[in-house]
Formats: sequence, structure tokens, C-alpha cells
Amino acid sequence: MELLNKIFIKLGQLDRRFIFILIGLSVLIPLLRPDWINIPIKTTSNSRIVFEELNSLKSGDKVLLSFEYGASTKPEIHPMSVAVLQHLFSKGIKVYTVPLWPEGLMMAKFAIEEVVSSNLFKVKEHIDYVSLPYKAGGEIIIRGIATDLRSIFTQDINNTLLSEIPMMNGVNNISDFDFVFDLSAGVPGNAEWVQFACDEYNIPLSSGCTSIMVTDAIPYVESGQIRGILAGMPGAAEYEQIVFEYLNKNRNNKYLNEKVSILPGKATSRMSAQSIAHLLMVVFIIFGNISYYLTRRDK
Amino acid sequence: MVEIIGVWCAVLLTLSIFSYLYGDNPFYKAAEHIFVGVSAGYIFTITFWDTIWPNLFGRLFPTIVQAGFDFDASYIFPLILGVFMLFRLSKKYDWLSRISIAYIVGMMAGLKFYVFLNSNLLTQIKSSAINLSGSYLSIINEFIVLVGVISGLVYFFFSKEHTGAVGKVSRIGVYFLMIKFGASFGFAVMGRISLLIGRFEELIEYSSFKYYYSTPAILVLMIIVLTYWSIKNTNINENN
Amino acid sequence: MKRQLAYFLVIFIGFLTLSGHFINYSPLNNFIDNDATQWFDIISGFAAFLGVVNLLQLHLNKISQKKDNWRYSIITLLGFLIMIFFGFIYNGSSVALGPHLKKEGSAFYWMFQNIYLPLGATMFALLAFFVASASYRAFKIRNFEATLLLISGVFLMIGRVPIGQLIPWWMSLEIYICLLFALIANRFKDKKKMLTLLTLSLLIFPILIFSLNLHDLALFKIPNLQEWIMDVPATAGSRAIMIGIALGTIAQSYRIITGREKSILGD
Repeated sequence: MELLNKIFIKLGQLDRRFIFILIGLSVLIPLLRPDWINIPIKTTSNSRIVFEELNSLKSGDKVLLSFEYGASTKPEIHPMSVAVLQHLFSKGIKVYTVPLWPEGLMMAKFAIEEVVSSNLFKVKEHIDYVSLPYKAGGEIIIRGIATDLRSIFTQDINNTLLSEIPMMNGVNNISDFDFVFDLSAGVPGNAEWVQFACDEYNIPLSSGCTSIMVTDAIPYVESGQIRGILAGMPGAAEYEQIVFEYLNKNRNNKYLNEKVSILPGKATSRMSAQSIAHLLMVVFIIFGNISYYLTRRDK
Repeated sequence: MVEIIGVWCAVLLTLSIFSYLYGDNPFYKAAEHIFVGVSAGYIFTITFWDTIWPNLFGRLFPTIVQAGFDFDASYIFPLILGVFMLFRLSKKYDWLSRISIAYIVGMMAGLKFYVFLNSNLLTQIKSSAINLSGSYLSIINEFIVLVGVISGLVYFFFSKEHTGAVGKVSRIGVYFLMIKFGASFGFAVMGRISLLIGRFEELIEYSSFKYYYSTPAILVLMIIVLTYWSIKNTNINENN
Repeated sequence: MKRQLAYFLVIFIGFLTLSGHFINYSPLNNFIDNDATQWFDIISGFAAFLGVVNLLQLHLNKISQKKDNWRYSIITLLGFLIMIFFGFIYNGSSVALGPHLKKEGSAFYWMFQNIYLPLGATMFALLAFFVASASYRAFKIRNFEATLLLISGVFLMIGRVPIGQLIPWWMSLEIYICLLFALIANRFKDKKKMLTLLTLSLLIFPILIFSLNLHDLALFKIPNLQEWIMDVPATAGSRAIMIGIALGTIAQSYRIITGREKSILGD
């Protein structure tokens, strides 16, 4: 017993580099050997709400997809962007992307490129999707989109005039969209979409955001101001899985290319690494507390 | 070839940042400084080409900048206010920048007054109400939320001393806040781990023959240089 | 006078913007919704430039005064100048300057993808290690509040990832019993008595729950418990904070619009 006490107390004074190595390995090993740990993903109710909301949209409906994340949060949000785009394209929904962060511009481009280059969907630029450029101003841009989009945006990212883009016909403000989906990692983000546009103009809004933002956004979700939320990488993995199942079920859908196979998304394979790292963190916390208890008792 | 050089650069910079785990070192410092410079350049360029060029110059000089806007002389005002903003750096004329800041602050205050009242106050209060026609379970849950919101707000109410009944209620509020912060902590951990997974995944991808084993090659090189650097540093310290 | 001018503008613009919500007069609404918004965006663009120029000034000063690590400031300036060069002078792609920023093949795009992206992503990924080390050292059960914080955090970490659903009902039950004892441990004077009671509870309760056929209850599945924590107590805490911040923001906006707040113009 004494020996055990000593071990725990010693563990409490562990060099932090040792912890770094353990955390590194807990992530690295499951990524290198994904077949070692394979746990099925269970979907949370909020991810299902997001799916049902988007799934209730009809072909030809217009969805505004707002990109407010960048390099630093790409692993968390980007898989959501891709899965949401796949879902929307598979239903023949028109997608309008708008970045409110300087980096969001590139993220939107990467996401669209990834989905379009898979050739799974029969989509064409300016007919099925259009990418709007970045504008400085944060929440004021949201306000501008809500009241008069054309006074801010006159061209798409390739400098094509919006008046020459067929799918921009009749799109002048937020009321012309059927749904807003926000991919956010900070400010401006889903809170600003709620405040400056969707609440006032009564446009349904869903969001996918970084883990850190979830607890701050949850009151909006519970009050229905945001309809469902995808929370961080696990949320992305859940959505990927729901969309993967949906695409397989609707294989003969006219919006899908029959010859191209449907591949599972990226976040799903990362979930075992996430699980192991979380488990290790909990073990750290338990060990840390036992050691704290023993040292305090000895004093 | 350009792609391979890009991958090698990406791996070198990624590992340079990770080298901070060993301790502060020249690799990390250089990478950090590159990041600051490049991100400043990125923001400057994107803001100019996507906002200032079409939305300002497109209206002032529509024949030169064909962004789809008509000529609008009133846009000389934001140009002047924008230039005033830059006077913040001058000691003599920094009062001019206050005029631009005044515009920003005034407009934000006017907008936020309404939107916070509408979305964050009234709607939140409304949705904290208990729906008595729901199931027993939902009524209990809604009751807990209501108790949590009220007691949490009592905790933030500093105009009255937290003693007696107020103290007890505010204590309950603290418990709810602690659960919220605990959840935030859990989510923060989750987010950071996800980002780490993203980086590691890329490093693993770049370890293949396709990219000429860039990750292991740079890792070994970096370890050698860092070892040499730390030995040299120890020697200098000892001599001093 | 100079100061008065700025305060006058704050009050004027503040009232004008606010009135747009309450007065239906189309020239006013048009101005607020279109031009005033656009002006704001353009000034914000210049504010971004100000930030960049300020940063450059800082590093130039560092170099000219040869402060600590001044050599690294040269790297910062070089990074900035290269981005400007690729953004405004050298294109490298087939499209015109401007759209070239987002065109694969342009030098600017290459810089974003291979320099900016890995650096930005790794900076934040690095924090994973420090969060782990910090929680090992600092996340301690010191009192009841800290225990609540820890329980909520741990359940979330486990319940949100797939591994959470693998935890069987009896293990969840044992965890709950242990946590309950951790919460009430201070009330026991005799530690031996507490340990005996704990051991007995750990043995008896699973048998009791199983024999009453209650082991399928949602309560014994950690992902469900985690969802409940998020939906109920965490929402209550978050909402209290949200309403508190809203009251603060409204009061502050009111003070700004009515000219009572004097610290906002960088004095």
C-alpha cells in the first residue's frame, strides 16, 4: 500500500514532456492503425435535427452557406462543410457560399472543390452553386445580406457579375433564401447570424461550429433560434455518417452520378483517435486527483 | 515539383511549431514570426482586393474598376474616414482617427442595442418559460433550467450583498455555472485534440514515398540540428 | 472641439441606426441598410490595414533599435513583403490580379496552402498538449464547485466520443456511486466506515438494479447523460451568462448612444 502511495505521489510530479509524449502517442497510434480500434458512431439528437431540417428542403430551394473558420479550426469544421454540401447537392438544392472571415474564402473554395471534384454530383458553377467573395465588416455584412445583398456583392469570387449568373436571379436579401447554414469558429459566427439576420427576418438557421463554441451557442439551440447544431469533429463525424447512409439509400437519385462510388468522410476515421485521447485525458485527471489526495493527506 | 516543395515547406513549418514542446528554440521562433508576417500580408491583400477595390474604388472610379457599381460621389466620405483611421499611428493627428472610430462605435451601439434586446434577452427569457402541457420529464427539465437561469442571474447581481436568501440562491447559481464551465472545458479539450488529429493525419500522409518521405526526413534533420543547438547553448552557458 | 466632434458623431450615428428599427421612413431605412452599412465595411477594411501597418511599425522599431530577437522581426517583414509581392505584383496564374488570390496555380494561393495553412493549424493544435498537461496538474477536486466542474467535464469528454457508448450500465452505475461518495466524503468522520459503505454500495446496487430490471434506463448510458447535462443544467448556466451579457451590452450601448460613455474613442 505504501509503495502504491509513493507511486501515485511520484506520478503527480511527472515531467510534462512525458504527458506530451503520451498524448502524442494516443493520437498517433489509432491514426496509424485504424483497424485496431473501430467503434461505431452513435448520432446525437442535435445532429439528427440538423439533418432533418436540411432534408426537409426541396429541390431548387436556396441555401446560404456561411464560412467563418480558417486554418486553425479546419480539421473540426471542414468535414462538416463537405458533408453538408454533399447533402445539399444530392437534393438538387442551390448553394450560395459566403465567407465572413478572410480565411473562410479559401475554406469555401476547398470544400466546394473537394465535393465537385469527386464527380459524385451533377453540379455546375453558377447553376447549382455560386461562391461570393470576402467582405470586411463582420456582423455588419450579415446585416447587409439581410437587408440588401446586392449593395455589398456585385461579383462572385472570379469577378463574374452577379447579374450574369442565372441562379442569382431574384436573390436580393435574406428573405430570398430558404435556409441559412453557418459554419463557424468564432466571431462573427452563429450568434451574429441569429442576432443580425435570422431572428428578425424569420429565416431558419442551423449551424456547425467548433467544440469550444457549443456551450455558448446551446441556449440558442434550446430556444429554437438555431435548429440543431453540429458540435466539433464528433458532430462532423455523425453528420458524415448520416449523409453517407442517406446517399447510399438514394443511390438512384437523379442528382447523383451512378458510376462514382460513395466514400465515407474523413472525420469518421478520426473518431477512434479522438476516443483514445479523451480516455487518456480522463485517466490523467483521475491519477492527478489521487496523487493530489495522497499528498494532501500526507501533509 | 512545386507541389513537393510545398509539402516539404508545410512539413518543416508544422514540425517547427511542434518543436516548441521540447522548449523555445530558433525553429519555433522563426515559424512563429513567418506566421505573423504572412497572415498580415494575407489579410491586407484579401481585404484590399475583395472589399476596398470593388466596394470603394468600384463606386468612385467605375470606369477603371468595373465591379458592377454605378458612380456614387457620397463614397468619398468612407474613403476620408478610412484614411482618417490610419492617422491613429500619428501622434499629431491621431484625433482624426477618433472620428472614424466614432462612426464604427456609434453604428455598432445602435445595432447591438436592438439585436441583443431581441435575440439574447427577450427570446431567451421567453424560452425559459415552463410549458405545463408537456410531459412530466420535460416539465422537470424546464423547471431545472428556469431555476438555473434565475439563480445564475442572482449570482451576477452585485447591487445586493450575497448573504441570507440571496446568498443561498446565488450559490445554486454558481453550481449551474460550474456545470456549464465543466462542459466548456470538456469541449475545449475535444476541440484541441481534433486539431491535433488533423495535423498528425497530414504529417502521416506526407510520410509516404509519394512525397519523398518528407515527414521522417525533416524530423530526423530537425532533431540533429536541435541537439547540436542545445549542446552549443549548454557550452556557451557553462563558459559564461 | 476635436473631441466634441467625435462624440457628436457617435451619438448621431448611434441614434440614426437605432431609429431604423423603429421608424418606417424609406430614405432613412435605405440609408441605414445600404450606404451606412457599406461605409462601415469600407472603414472596417481600413481598420484592418491599420492593424497591419501597426504590426509592421512594431517590427521595424524592433529592428532599428536592435531589441531582443530583432533578427526574427526581419523574417516577419519578409513574410509580409512576399505576400504583398504575390498579391499585387507577381501573379503566376492565368487569371487577372484580384481573382488570382483564389486561383490554384497562383503564387499567392501556393503561399496560403503551404505556408499559412500549416502554420495556423499547428499553432492551435499545439495547445492540445498544454491542455492535457494543465488538466493533469490543475483539475483537482478541491471543493463541491470544483467537483461539479470536473464531473461535467469528464462526462462530456467520454459521452461525446464513440467510446462512451461502450461503457456498460453497471460500470456507469459504479461511477455514479463513486462520484456520490466523493461528493459526500467530507461528511464522514470515520473513513473506515465510509469505505465499508462504499464497498457495500458498489456490490449491492448493481444486483438491486439488475433484479428490478432497471438497467436499461437511459440514465445508465453515459452519452445520454451527457446530452442531458448539455440540454438542461449547462443550458441554464449558459443562458444566465447570455442574459447577463445582453443586459450589459444593452446598458453599454445606451450609454454610448447617449454620450455618457467616455472611454470608447481610445482616450
